Amino acid sequence: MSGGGGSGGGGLRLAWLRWSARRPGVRAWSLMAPGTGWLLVFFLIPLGFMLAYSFMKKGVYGGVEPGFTLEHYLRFFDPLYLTILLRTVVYALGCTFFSLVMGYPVAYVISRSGAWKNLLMFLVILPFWTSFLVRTFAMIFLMRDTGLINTALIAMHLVQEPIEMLNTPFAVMTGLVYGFLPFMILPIYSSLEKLDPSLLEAAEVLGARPFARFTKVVLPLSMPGVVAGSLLVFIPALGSFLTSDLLGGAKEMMVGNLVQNQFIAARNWPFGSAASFVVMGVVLLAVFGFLKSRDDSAPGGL
Amino acid sequence: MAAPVVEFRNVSKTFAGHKAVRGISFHIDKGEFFSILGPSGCGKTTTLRLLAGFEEPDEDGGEVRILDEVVNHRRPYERKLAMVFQNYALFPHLTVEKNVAFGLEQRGTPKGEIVTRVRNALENVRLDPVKFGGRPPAALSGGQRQRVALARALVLEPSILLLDEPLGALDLKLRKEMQLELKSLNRRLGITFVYVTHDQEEALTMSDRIAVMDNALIAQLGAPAEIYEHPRTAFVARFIGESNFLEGAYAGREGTWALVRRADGSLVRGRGGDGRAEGAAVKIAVRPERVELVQPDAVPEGFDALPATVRQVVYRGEMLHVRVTLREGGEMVAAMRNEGQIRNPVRWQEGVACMAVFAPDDARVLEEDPA
Amino acid sequence: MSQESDAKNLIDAVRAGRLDRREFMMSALGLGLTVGTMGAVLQACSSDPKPAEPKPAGDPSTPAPAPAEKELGPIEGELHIYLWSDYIAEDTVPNFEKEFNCKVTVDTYESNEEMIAKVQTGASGYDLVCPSGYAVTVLKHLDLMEKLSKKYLPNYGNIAPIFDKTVFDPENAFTVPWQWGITGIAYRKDKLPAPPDSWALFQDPAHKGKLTMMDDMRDNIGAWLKFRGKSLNSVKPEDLAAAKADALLAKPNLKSYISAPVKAQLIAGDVFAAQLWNGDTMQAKVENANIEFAIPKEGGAIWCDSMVIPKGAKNVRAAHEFLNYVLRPEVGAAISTFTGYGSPNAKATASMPNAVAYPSAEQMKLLEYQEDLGEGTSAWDQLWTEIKSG
Repeated sequence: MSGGGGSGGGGLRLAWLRWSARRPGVRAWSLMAPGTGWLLVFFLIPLGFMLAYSFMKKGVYGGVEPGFTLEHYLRFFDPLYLTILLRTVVYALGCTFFSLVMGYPVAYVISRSGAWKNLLMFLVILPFWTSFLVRTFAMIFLMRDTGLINTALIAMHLVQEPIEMLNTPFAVMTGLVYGFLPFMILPIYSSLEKLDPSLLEAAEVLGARPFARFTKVVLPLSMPGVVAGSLLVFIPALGSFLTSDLLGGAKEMMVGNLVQNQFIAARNWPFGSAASFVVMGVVLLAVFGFLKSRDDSAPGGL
Repeated sequence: MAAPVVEFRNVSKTFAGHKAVRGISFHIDKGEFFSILGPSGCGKTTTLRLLAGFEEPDEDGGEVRILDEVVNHRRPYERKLAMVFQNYALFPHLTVEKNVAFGLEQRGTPKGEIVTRVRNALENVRLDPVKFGGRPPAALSGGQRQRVALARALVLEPSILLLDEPLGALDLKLRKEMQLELKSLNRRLGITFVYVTHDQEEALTMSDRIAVMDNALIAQLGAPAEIYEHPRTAFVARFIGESNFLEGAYAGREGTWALVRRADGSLVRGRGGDGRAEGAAVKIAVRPERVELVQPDAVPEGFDALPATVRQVVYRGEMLHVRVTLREGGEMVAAMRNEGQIRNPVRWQEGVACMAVFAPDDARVLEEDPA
Repeated sequence: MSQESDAKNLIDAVRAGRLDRREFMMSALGLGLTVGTMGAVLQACSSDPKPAEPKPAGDPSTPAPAPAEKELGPIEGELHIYLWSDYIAEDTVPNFEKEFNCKVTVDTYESNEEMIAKVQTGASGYDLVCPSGYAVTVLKHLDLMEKLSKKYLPNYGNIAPIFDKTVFDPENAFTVPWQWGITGIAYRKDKLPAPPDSWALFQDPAHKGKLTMMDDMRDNIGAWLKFRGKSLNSVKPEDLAAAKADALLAKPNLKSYISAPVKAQLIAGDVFAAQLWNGDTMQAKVENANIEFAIPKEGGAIWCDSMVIPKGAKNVRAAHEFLNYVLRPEVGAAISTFTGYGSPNAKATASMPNAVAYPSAEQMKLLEYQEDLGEGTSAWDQLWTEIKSG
């Protein structure tokens, strides 16, 4: 309430309650208002600006000049930029794949670990207590030539020369998977947690061996979690550039770097906006693709 | 006679120090409708899960035998049984057809045969395969889901069908209907049914035999009538139907009857009580419908009578429940048909003095409940 | 985790200058914002003016610009400075506050673009900002600077001749040089057979995987332009094509494109030679005495950050007093001792035992200031993208 207005405030409050009680939808809407307002002001409006910018001419010192042009979108179809987009998509898909392969068993085990569940989930979320930047720097200290891993390997006489890990695609993929793995584990865990154990027992009585129980019951029923997790990993992985900068030695450009450069060094806001929208298009395609594949596999018209 | 389909030999199961089942023994014959009845926590679900193979008995915790083989360590799918779960446990991501076909597919049944058997199974439970086959479980009513769960189990033509409180989620009318249907399936298909429930009426209606469980043990096992008429313990007498309890001390025998001395010195007769020591505190159970109220001067020959005063008359439509206070303490309820004034001219009203009478054959001297 | 509230914190952090764009993007990424969303939020930050700073108590009216130097009123009670991080000695501000009875706030930024974006809103609330050379050009083009009134800057004469009348402020109309530096080669003298004398070092496969160059198109491409004797501000297609070829020749030898953070790797010995600024090299040398700095014979970039008064500043007299104050030899020396960079203040430099020496006239011929590329920026960016993707 807006303050200690004594009886005045109370009267207002009463009037609001009376008024809204007769309009059941109103209270629900008023609960949504802050979130909706936030999205509107800080997401949709800037997005609208961006969309407009992406069709305007660039200003020499940043900003935009009036006019309408498709050149920025057309420019993106230069093989130079398509290669960057493709590379980014490949990394994002790879990251999604490895996160899924590694995250699913983790989520599965946690969902079956009874009293330890909460502690284990807490441990999964623990990395979020540190910023992504700090965690990525920590990986540099692990992987560099004189880093922990190489020092240990050399000390154990397993290798003579340090293994070059940093500044390789391996490092980038490792960093991406490390960063986004919890986003895969969380939704899969929550869908596995909801799984009714009696379904597994039913399957077992019906003759399903462990592998069949997994493929015929557990996996299909955890697909919502798999899809959510995949999107939660794929989308930010597509926008990532920090990892390729820090762990990949900035030797390969990602779409994220490209967009950032356009807004800062290149002072080409319209092209940066257009590139953002192309990426958003890819994301939307991915989302629809995933949802479509789910619809097709769902039984009947539900 | 052939070997029993199911046999439990002194089976025990302990969960983290808690004894869920304490050395129970029983057998189930082929084609029998066998119910395990008891309140929650009595061990009935554990018993069913031991039979299904979801749990194994404790080490040296006895033997679970199916078709004369020890199955203690066999997985559920190696036990020739099928199961209907409490919440049906239908696969939400599969259609009705696919749900029913699931077990057959796991067994590698040929495709063509699956189609036929699935159709037959659905028809068996009176679900139209064409109309419902393609629907997901979520698009079905509770009763329809129940039928799908039944079809999914029966399609495998199991020797034994386990049912874990399968009717709990249905409304009363549907439940009654399904009770009859289950019973008729049992008769028609010749499959042994093992039915777990906490609903005594359900158990009495459908079962050939009932095992009443209490406190991890079988309190009584027998045909419905036997259990109802001759409850062995106060628990069974109370859990199945309603009972009046009279307390007293064992005072020897009079013919086939046991004598029990009440606090005021009067003697009451009843069946049972064998082996009780003279003077031991015992309870007698009498069903309310076996108690009659008569005028103090009209006690019929051969009946035991307790002087009482009417305290309350509960009108129940076709029945009247008259609650009386016994002169020497305690209460009894007499259930009588509401037969109208012509056939039953006495109007029992609060405060009226009367005699509560019952035949010695209708009184049961109870055994002690096990600890 | 509430993405929205974290996003809000992020925006606030960007506004307050606690995060630069890159860090913002990193954090946004941590929140799972998409590239598109990030762009949107960035724009929200750029186009939303910062909430107005508290208004000064002194003279509220800024005198109209005049051809002659302006007369300024008495010193105001407060001063708001917007500066690169770690770019001022710890006692510079407290001493000024004490002496002039003027409350000073210092906010920091990490990139010229961030600073320009804020000044561009016209309501930044700052009285002094510190652009690099080419950023001065941008501010001039955008008409975002106040002219200095030299008569309030009696210490201006302490500035060394080579930083007087720089290419980006030939009239000394707007700028007071703050710190200067050179982009050259930092190297481990214990790892290389001889001190490097040419950018060709980076094309020599002998040290493959132990070399880095800066992750900045101006410094990186600029080095290769100098390598071929061209201006590092060239926008000629043929010059750029040659620079790209040279850059791609070097790329396989490079461990990574990395700027200031390479110091740790130099110190650890993961990297033998890195394109780097002299000041950062000196900072690394403190940790490992084997680290040295060389200016390649083909030349490199010299840069000088300067203080300017942005248009709309409210505390112009206090800004002048502060500039005059930092031009004192002892104050300038303290700042350069802290930053490790050179002081453009000749008297300050003379007073410091370990001062970065001014480049000789000979060296100066090799060094060149980065100037704004104007329309050429696009071509450079495309070239840089091609190099990074090559």
